[in-house]
Amino acid sequence: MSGNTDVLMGYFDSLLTTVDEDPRKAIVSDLLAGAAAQAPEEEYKPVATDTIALGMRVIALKPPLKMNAVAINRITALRLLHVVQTIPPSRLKLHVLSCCAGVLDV
Amino acid sequence: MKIWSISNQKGGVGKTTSVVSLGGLLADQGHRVLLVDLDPHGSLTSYFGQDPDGLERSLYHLFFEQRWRNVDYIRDTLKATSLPNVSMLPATTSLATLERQVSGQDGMGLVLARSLAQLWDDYDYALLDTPPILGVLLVNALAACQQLVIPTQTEHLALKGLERMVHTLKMVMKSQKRELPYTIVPTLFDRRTSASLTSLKEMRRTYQGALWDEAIPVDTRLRDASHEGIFPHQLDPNTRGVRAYRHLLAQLSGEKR
Repeated sequence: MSGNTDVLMGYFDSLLTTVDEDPRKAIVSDLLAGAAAQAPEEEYKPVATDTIALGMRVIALKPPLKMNAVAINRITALRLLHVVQTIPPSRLKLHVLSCCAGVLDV
Repeated sequence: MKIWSISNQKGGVGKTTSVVSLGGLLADQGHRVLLVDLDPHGSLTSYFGQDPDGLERSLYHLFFEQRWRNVDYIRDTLKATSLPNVSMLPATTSLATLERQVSGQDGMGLVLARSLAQLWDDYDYALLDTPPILGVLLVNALAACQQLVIPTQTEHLALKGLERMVHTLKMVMKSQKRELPYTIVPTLFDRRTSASLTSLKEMRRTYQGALWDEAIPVDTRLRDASHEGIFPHQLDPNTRGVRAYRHLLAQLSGEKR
């Protein structure tokens, strides 16, 4: 494979890789999908504006109204930590990390 | 829904004309047709009287905030054409910035496929008009379609573009691990010029199995139809260009093999 073809194949593979192929990403994707259509809440707006160039947006997850809410919140935080690894250093990354730290009592 | 992409990495080869002509003829057969404009120039969008600089919603907006999941949003983005059973998903010039905005995000080549999946029962055919450059939009079209049509102007420089397009197609097929049938369609053929005759001969020699055995002739009536903003067969159902596209449609839809 020539160098040029190699570069292009990497490009195609990146564009054509679905999040569904990675089960961890799929879980988070499903989790966030329902909230994606909501407008960002006031406190998140400055951060959301900051991240438009990254193609990302802050979505406020509502606390689950179930008996085991603490456990679910912790699982959610752990899943978010998987996602946040892929985000370049930014205010968004710091914000998500601090939110997860609060939930996990770190 | 059957999805055909009309693509070539060279401009001015008759992509938009082919999309409009084939779409109109499919509609004439009673099919429900969706035309999709993936070109930031918005030629198809302009064809039907929409302004690619002025529209508030377009294909561009489906790439953000997972709007491709929202069937109502997608339906509200569609525009009417001069036929009731043909709709258009328009382009805006903002599509030109898409490459920069979605770079590095996995799966961005599948947004169109996912959007069309939402409209699967609304249309019988979707025809994709792609930009003449290799990028996220062309990859979206190749990933979404089930059949590729490559219009190729019968002149020497166009053969290089064709070579590049076939190379790109092979890489995308490798990445997607699937075969995508393609048909090369000689366009803007003028039997009076040696350039047309020579390049058609060269195409037949190099791409024997994939080349359509006829050619779309130069026909000023096709241009007249675009000026009017109507489908070519509405202007004149028997013009040379429309007759040729009718033959091509029979080939593509499997009526003639």
